[in-house]
Amino acid sequence: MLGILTRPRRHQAPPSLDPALLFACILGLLVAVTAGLWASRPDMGQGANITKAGRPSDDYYLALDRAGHADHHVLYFGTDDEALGHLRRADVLLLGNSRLMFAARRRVLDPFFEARGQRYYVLGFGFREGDRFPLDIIEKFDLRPRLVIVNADGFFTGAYSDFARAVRSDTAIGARQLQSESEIGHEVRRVIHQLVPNWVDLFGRPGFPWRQELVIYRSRTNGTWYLSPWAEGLRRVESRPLHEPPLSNREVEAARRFKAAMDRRGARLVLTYVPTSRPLGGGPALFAELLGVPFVMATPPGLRTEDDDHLDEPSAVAWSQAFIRELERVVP
Amino acid sequence: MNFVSWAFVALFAVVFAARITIGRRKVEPAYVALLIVASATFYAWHIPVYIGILVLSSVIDYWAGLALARLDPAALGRRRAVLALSLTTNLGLLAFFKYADFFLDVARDVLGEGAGALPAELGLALPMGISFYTFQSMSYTIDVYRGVLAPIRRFWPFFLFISFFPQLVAGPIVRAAEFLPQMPRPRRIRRVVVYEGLWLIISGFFLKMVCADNLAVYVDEHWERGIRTGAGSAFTLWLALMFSGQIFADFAGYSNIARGAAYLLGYRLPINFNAPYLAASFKNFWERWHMTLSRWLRDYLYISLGGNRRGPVRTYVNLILVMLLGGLWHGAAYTFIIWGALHGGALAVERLLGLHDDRGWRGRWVVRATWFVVVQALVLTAWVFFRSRRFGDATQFLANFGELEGWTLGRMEWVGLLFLAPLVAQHVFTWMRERGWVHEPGPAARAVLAAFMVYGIVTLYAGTADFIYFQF
Repeated sequence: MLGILTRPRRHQAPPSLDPALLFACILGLLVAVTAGLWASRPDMGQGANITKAGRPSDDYYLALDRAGHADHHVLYFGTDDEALGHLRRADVLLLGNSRLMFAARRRVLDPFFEARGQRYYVLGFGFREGDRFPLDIIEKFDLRPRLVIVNADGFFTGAYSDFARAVRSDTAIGARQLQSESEIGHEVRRVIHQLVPNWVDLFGRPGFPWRQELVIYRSRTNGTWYLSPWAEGLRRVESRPLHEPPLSNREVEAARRFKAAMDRRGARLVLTYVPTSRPLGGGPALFAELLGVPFVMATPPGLRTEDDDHLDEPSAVAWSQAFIRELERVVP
Repeated sequence: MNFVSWAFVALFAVVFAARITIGRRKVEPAYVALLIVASATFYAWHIPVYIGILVLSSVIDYWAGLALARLDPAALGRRRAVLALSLTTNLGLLAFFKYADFFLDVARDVLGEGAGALPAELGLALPMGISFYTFQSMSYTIDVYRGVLAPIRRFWPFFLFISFFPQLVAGPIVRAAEFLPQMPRPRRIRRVVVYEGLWLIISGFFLKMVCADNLAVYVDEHWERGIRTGAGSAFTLWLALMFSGQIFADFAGYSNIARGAAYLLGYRLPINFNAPYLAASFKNFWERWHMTLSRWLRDYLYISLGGNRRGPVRTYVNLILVMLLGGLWHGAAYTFIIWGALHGGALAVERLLGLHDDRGWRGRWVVRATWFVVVQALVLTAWVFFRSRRFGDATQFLANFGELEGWTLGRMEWVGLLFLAPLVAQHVFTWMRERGWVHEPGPAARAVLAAFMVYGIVTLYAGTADFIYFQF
């Protein structure tokens, strides 16, 4: 069937069965039946996320969906001039992995930093990104924030994620191509999935927490993520001791190197922790003690996640509110 | 440029439109010129400056072909020098871009503290397809040197042979003797050609977007778990099977798309895969897997080393050496070398035992069946090294399986296996076809299958993972 074809056999089909027509009829029938069944079964979750997802404003660009993950590329290569401009002017940077990106809510952070007359930018990344990649960006664009806030959980790795390694070996042209491909795929799939679903999205993939496609837009102004969908979390976040486990040598070295880099840039470093049921790396409070920097601890009650890793939206808002209250005590 | 991209859709649409208008016989100069421009665009899409490397390799080998034709056949020294220039250029480019960092690492390991002066890494982006087009180009000069091929006397057709975009980045590795005779031969586009080309393209995209990319979701997510202590035998076996399916679907899918696209544009490319997991011997595995690479290694390396004509011991050494280099061809990592060594050692042992063909005691079905299991088990084991980043990871993975406990699979694993089902079906069909029990599907059957595959692509695609062999 596949890859083993010889020359086509002649006189195989009767003249009336034109293969192209047969193909079109069968495909049309499959699509029609699927669309009809899907429309008649509201319990099957009408509308794929891609059809419902929409960026809240022109301030947002597509960072991630199934068609492509351009988030790392855009900021590493500076392909979005407006985003890069805001990043350069930021007085405050927030760094961390996707847990921070879920937790940092614009509607809480915007009025807080605006009241302080500060511009902030959330420079976190998914794929469990650690310190090396954002540090590259800080150095590449010579960013000079006055304050750097880091979600210490799993940050000081001294390494790049696999994805970041691939990004670093790409080019600015490649980054722009990826962004274009992602945007085009986003719109094409939006049309297709009005009719037929992606079955894996609809029924989920057992063993994987995210049932439907995650669509993420990123703000050019402040780097925050806008997620679609954002399911309500059903699992409570388990509390953890913040002084465990002990730091590895690698983490200690990475943390000190990062601190030194921030000192060279005249940036004050503050650490925090976004609660999660599955912590990464050494105890977050231990990093603060190691580096002699403040530790902002925000643990409002009743936090929930969908996947044990990332806060759901109400929890993220609650965390952001608790975070800015504690931050104000530490950095008045 | 990736086949699974809108840019490729646009490029191919333009080229195919030219095929059915200005290139109806395939040999029109304007059409050929467009193919060359399209191929250069396809290649330069990633890193434009690297088109210079492709041109350099082409110019040197084009010149080498002409020089070899001009030289007296008795002037062995000068002929060898010309051949050496071609091989050195191609292998030098390959070594520089692909292996420089690896050799720097090895040098640092060897020199220890004395390696202070060495750079940390060159960090060069690998030119896409360099492993493929350098081999393709070398095959031309070697064939001209051997006198089995007349050199081509115009540069642009030669450049088209090297740069022809359907097979440029990840094969099939096409011989000059296969491609060049096609160039001056008119080939009209006919409906049956369109159907066959589209069939190959659709099946290729199905293999890639439905099978390979979905299998990749599981493999990428869980491989780290497989190398942790206590992962369980069933889980590691499952993971290895998933990867074996992923790499086959990914690479065979690419080859199908390449062959289908080439066919629509008027060229036939060789088959690259033929149900490799049916192989009942290691020799047969390499007659079914990446067929164009294995025959390149056979014809230009194994035979040049003496093949099996210098006694059994030398034969075994040649087999191991060729497969070691085959492993190294995939990349600069110890795990690839070990993968090659496993296959080379297996080929040698198989030959030693007389199990490489159906003569002698291999004629007995129980021996054949047993050896089939041995072959597939070792192929699976070798894939573990191929996928692992470090030697220790692979050995831990295999040790987890070797504990022979933890034999249950959960719902996730069983659902994941569903994405292997099309590959199993394809292999079963091939097995039946090779025995004459079924025939190739006719146009109507293909039309129905193609409709289901397109429906599958639209409703079961996983994401946009790069083709695995793009990294080689």
